[in-house]
Amino acid sequence: MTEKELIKGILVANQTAFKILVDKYQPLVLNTCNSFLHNKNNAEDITQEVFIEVFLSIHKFEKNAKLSTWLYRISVNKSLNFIRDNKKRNIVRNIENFFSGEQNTEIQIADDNYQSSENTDNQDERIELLHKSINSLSKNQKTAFTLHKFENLSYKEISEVMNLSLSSVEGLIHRAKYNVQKKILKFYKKK
Amino acid sequence: MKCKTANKKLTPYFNNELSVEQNKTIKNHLKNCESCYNLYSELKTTYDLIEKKETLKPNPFLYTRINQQLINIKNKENQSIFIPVYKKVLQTVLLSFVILIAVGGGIKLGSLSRIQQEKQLLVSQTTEFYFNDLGQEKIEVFLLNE
Repeated sequence: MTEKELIKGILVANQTAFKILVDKYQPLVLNTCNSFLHNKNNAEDITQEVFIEVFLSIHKFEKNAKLSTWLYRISVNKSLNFIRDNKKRNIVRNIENFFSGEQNTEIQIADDNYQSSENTDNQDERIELLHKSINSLSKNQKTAFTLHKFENLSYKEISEVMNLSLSSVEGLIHRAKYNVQKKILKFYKKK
Repeated sequence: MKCKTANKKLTPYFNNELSVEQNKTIKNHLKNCESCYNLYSELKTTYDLIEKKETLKPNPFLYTRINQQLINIKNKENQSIFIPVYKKVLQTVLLSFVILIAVGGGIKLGSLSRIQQEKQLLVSQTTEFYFNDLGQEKIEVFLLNE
């Protein structure tokens, strides 16, 4: 089934067409969500939401657009919304813990307090530091950088997903790269 | 070169964005300064981990889960559409029924009391006839008319 046939099928609520689409694009959506969330379970939940949105709003899909670009866009938006909502939940939990006198180590980490980890020789801890450095970037920098570095998308593809010019994407990735490196250096300087 | 100056140029050095001369200066500094070299190697080791991407295996049950969720959404939508319409119709019918009963009861009660009043008036008129006549007409006028 071609991309157009799949879309036509989903427009008339054809279950077979939708199943083919889910099977074909699941790796793309799942890994994109995971690149932002760094958590398998959350990535699977958001992937589910992405495909539900695809099914419910397929009529909004522009015929001339690329399906993968649309899927990337929905995946990025859903993942960023999840991160935003998660931050809000953390703030509320932090306030609750403050009044109840409990301590929340998770939030301390979210506040870029890398001092809590003692041994960063471990690769997992290095990866955690890297993820936290990326998460501290602005929304646009994070999107462009993640799509480029983790999803290997070209600048042109990123500009289509983000609806930005090529030069803007270039600038965003350049600044994101510097900011991530600065964060890493700052952490090791403190040590 | 001071460590502070070298540290500031570690990022552009790492990204190969320095001039040939500056590049050489930093390289020499890193050879002679252990702490700066350690800092640079930490940056390199950590940042290069970006290349080590984690690829997740697709979930074979994802489609089933999505399908189930879509069914739930449809059921919810159907319920949410049906319930307000059903409620509104029921409310309107009940209200109309109450109003009809009230109006009908009012009319019925009103007509009952009117009939009673008319009956009472009739009875009073028949019993008071003689008294009224005698009361209003004088006996002389009555006798003259006769």
